[in-house]
Amino acid sequence: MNVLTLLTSMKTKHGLTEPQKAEVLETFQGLSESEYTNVVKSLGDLIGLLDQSTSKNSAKDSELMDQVALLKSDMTEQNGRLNRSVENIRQIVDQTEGVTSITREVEQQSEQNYEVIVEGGRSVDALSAEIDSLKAIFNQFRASIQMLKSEVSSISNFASTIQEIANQTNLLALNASIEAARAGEQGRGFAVVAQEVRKLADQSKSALQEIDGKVQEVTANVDELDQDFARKTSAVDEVIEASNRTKDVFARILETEENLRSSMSRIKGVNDHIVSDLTGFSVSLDQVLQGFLQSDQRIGHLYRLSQDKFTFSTETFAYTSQLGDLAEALRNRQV
Amino acid sequence: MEIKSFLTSNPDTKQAFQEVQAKLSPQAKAVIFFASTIYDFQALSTLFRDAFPNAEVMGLTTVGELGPSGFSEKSLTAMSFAGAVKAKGVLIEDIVKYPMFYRDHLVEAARQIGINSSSTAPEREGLGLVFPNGLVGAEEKMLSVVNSLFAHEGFPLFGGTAGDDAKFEKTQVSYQGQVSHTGGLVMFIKPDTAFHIAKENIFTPNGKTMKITKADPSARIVYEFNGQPAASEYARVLGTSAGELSRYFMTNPLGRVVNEEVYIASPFDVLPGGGVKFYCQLFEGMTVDVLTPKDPVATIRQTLDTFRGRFARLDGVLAINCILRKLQFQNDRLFPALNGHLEKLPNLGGFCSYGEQLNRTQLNQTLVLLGFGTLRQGESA
Repeated sequence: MNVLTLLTSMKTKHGLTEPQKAEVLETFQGLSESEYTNVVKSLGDLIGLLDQSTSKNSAKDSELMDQVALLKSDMTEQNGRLNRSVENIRQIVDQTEGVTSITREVEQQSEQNYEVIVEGGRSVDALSAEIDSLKAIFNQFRASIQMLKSEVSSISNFASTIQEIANQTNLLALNASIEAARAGEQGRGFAVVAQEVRKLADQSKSALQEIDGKVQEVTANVDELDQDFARKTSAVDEVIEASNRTKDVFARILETEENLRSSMSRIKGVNDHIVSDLTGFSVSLDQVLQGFLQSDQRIGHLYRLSQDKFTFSTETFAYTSQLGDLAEALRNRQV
Repeated sequence: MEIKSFLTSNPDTKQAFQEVQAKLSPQAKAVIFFASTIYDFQALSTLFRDAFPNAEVMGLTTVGELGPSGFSEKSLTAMSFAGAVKAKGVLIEDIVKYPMFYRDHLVEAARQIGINSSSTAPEREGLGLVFPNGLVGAEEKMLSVVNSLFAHEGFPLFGGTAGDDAKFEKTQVSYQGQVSHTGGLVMFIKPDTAFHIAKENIFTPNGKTMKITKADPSARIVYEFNGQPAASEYARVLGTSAGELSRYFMTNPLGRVVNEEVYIASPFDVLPGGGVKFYCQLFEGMTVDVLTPKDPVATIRQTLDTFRGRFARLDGVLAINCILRKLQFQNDRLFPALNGHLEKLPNLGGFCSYGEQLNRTQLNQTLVLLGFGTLRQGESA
């Protein structure tokens, strides 16, 4: 009921009905005593409840912050582990790359070795060929020497024929001398001739002896030469054998070198594979790390949010405590 | 902004006032003085108000002063702010029970100097200085009411709690000559230059933590850590006895580390029942780190280097330093070394406090710095 209605009804002097009277009374007095007490009490109760909720809220905020703090420290730890893993992988990649570069060096070295070995093999082959031709020359020499020996021995035969001729000549000259002596004076000149012939025969004999000595000498020299060649030939044979063995060794070295090269290339292949796998893994790990960092930022954000929330809780607490004081003032009807 | 600061140790109230007044800007828009309890605070408040009738004049009692040469005691220091700056103060006469009654005053004060409380970027609207009285445990309430003015978060609030030279009887604040020991001061400032706020922490977690299992935040009391009586558990973690615990308050406060930033909660007193009273609210369920100090001199050098590095031109600095830090520095005879760094700040003024306030939070065992000037390119407050 507003004041205007009230004044109108008073002016018309119709008086007020009972409900109207109660309404008028309320309009003037506001809340009744018991209503007022109820309102203040309920207000107090509500503030108490608000306070309780705020306390619980603060406790939950604290827990939230604790959880976030734990999460953050976990993340920091994980992050550390992850960083160490990334570092380990990086080291492994470095080492593997080191192995690859060593393999490459070995490969290059092996390439050079191969060339040297092939060159060596060729040299040994060439040497072997030279020695073979040397041996052939030696053999030809020995054949020549044999021929020489037989020629010399035919000289010797020839000389003994001449010896016989000289002997017979001497005999003939002796006979002639005898015949000349029988012929007496007429034969004197003939005897001189015979004498001279004998001298010649003797000279022939001594020349033949000399020849024979020379022939003997030549024969001995040729024999020595022959033996020498025989020895040299066997030395050449040894060289040939050695060079054949060297050829074998070179062949084996070559084979080993080829095996080495193929091993190296397998190592290189495996290593390349490892590096590419590791690089892939490293990239994934980096992605995980990035994800982690992002999560870390989010957690930082969450942390700030919970700190803000905590501040708001503190403020709410400050408000409810003032509300409590205000309710108290209402209750006591004084501030 | 033209900022001037001066400090005197003249013990005579009137002479001290005259010495200080002579060094401040006569045309100051705002004057703030910080006084030891050796002075008659009411008399000082009246003298300053009368000397600067066109300025917003605020003052408070302290537990040590900071002047152009750094730390001082039993002295009077003041700062004047002149130029195109606008300032408006409010005395909230009661911050303990009904700071809400002053909300309209605050709204009006902010509006008067052109601070838009519904701005979506309140950090660009200016800043507020807050100086609550100490020993009434009402800093959080006061902060909550000042912050309630702004529709969006981010309005910079900076301040410190008044002290009483460690007598722990009664602190005082005054606005335009009116003195209060239950209220708090707010000064809204619309500066004509940029400003930058820094916070120094000289503590680092020692690796041990405790969980608060029973607490009364409104009374700032923790009854239990880890389900054990607070004082004995705190002492056990530090390897000492409950009787010796208070000797470790300065060097081993508690803290929360949030994103590598340490928020310190300083213990104030061991209560007869074995509870521990703090300088700020702590809540049940919180896990707190036990802290240990870093080298204060090296830390302040780094803090001030970084701080000055933010400015192309620094006009003046308001600094507020916690009582516990001051006691620690005093114990370790570090004032000369620290002052060697502090005196490099131009027009330095400030005080040692019973608590520090930054934005929405009440801090402990911290040094907060507010500098006005021109910031380097690319820097923001």
